Amino acid sequence: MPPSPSEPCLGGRVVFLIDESEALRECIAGGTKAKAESIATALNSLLNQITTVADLEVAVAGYRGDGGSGADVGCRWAGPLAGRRFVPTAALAEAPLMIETRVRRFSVPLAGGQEDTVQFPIWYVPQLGGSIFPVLGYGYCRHLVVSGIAPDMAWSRPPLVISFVGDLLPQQVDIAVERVQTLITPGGAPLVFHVHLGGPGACRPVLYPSNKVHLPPGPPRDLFDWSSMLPEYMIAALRAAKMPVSAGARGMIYNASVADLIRMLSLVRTYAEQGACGSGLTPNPQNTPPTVDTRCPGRSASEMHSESQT
Amino acid sequence: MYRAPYTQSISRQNKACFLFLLDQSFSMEEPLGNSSNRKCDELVAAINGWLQNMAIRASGDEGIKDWMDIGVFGYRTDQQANPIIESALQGPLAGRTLVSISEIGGAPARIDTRMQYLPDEETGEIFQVPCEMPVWVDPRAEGGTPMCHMFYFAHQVLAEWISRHPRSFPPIVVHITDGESQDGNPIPYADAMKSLATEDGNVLLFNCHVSMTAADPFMFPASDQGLPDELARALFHMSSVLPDPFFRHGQAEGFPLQPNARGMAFNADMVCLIQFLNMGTQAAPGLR
Repeated sequence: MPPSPSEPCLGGRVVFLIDESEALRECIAGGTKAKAESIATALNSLLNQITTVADLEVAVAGYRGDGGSGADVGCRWAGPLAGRRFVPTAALAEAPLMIETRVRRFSVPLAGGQEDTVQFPIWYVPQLGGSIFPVLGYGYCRHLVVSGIAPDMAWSRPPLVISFVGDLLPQQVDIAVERVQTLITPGGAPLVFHVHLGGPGACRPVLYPSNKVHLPPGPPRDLFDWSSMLPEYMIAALRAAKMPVSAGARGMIYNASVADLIRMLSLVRTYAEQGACGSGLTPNPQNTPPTVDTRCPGRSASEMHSESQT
Repeated sequence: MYRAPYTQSISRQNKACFLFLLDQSFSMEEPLGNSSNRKCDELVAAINGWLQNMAIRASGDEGIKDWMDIGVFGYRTDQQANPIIESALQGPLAGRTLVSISEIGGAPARIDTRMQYLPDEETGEIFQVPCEMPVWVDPRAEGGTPMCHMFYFAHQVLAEWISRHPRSFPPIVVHITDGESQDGNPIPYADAMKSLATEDGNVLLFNCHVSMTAADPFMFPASDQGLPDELARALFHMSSVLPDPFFRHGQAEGFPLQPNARGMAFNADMVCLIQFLNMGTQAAPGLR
């Protein structure tokens, strides 16, 4: 049964997990800015677009070297939201870190260039550091996803994790990713999507592959294994946007351009709109109580929550 | 002095030749896999896009460089099952067999307005903007699939072209179909066409099968093991092994190619079709 209108309900949770290593200083394919800056712009733009969506919580987390031998892993909210983990989308509009005036510029081949100025709220500013093992980022993400779950809250969607990866190196992070994918939440097991951006001169992008034969051997195929399948409603949204997507496609883009990045993040808006409480969509039918990690069956959500607070 | 095959650089003196053979049978009315558009619509969109890109690439201060000849042929049958093999070019170039890229660039049939999606890097938005798209080829879908007649006709065209350009990079034939030949076994006809050669190597035939199913495509297979049916195996055996420059280009583009990979795609959707066209036509020396 879907939650009744009076029942406390969470439309969903979204975690943006960002590799903030120096690899993201490279210019993005199809654009003129660094990958880190492109991610920040696309992410801030998306956050601005979903401020009107109710019942959704968002976290922006990053991982990088701290300049010494340590790691800096954590949520990246700043300004009025500093120190928070999840922020309800409804609270975002009131609390940007800053608002910039930006020039929206696009060329219209039939009508020449056009531009206008827009107020552009910013919540996330990238700070890059050394490269660290992504396993630390996924480990933090695993605790974050289930942190602070209210015991009486129904969810209408599984959590969504979008992981932005930098250099693709042969690294043993499969267990760390699997431990995120196999979490049990009231909305079901999290969806984990991956974004890998191409640089200048990058070879062809591979978008939402349904089979790893489309990818070069090695780390790109690992990324495929770590990415969840797109739900039907996301496939439908991509097809409606003229993106050819096969059944069984994974939430993954490889060697992506700036346009691919923006389109991928538009899936979050689709997720938010489809998952709104009272939308008539069926939530997790078992309404599984929070929360047991299948990899650590002895630990409760509250234990993980308190652990993640420390 | 010995020079490895398929290494002749494309230039005004040593022009290239590209032949596109388009299945225009009735089944091309069906939607292409993962798309709501008909196969024939997606096919001509890809071909028109390729022609535009090539015209742009050939453009310089002195206009469009005359460094390649292009033929675009459609094949189908009439109501009495007679084969119709004709140039698919429309407008001022209608009926022409081979046309230089400079003529192509200067004479589209018309300019359509299409919506294009462009990103804005400052605001992270994607805008839908109208843009001009030159059109040379229009969609067509009627009758059967006279593949043998098509290859026989292409053989004649290429034999004549090779006699005038014996030192050029050999012609590249890109054949796009969605079904089986209905006028016999096409393999001997394809083999005859591939036996034609310039001093730089044999004619290359790349086959692309477009499908209405959203099944996983096979791109550049190296063996017929695992191919789903007889049609796929027939296309595999008709397709040329990728010469070294194409193999290296494909690897650089991130295709996981095995030795002896062939210029073939099966169950291709629009993305595969465009990748296939680029792979089949941009790897020749001088075009990269």
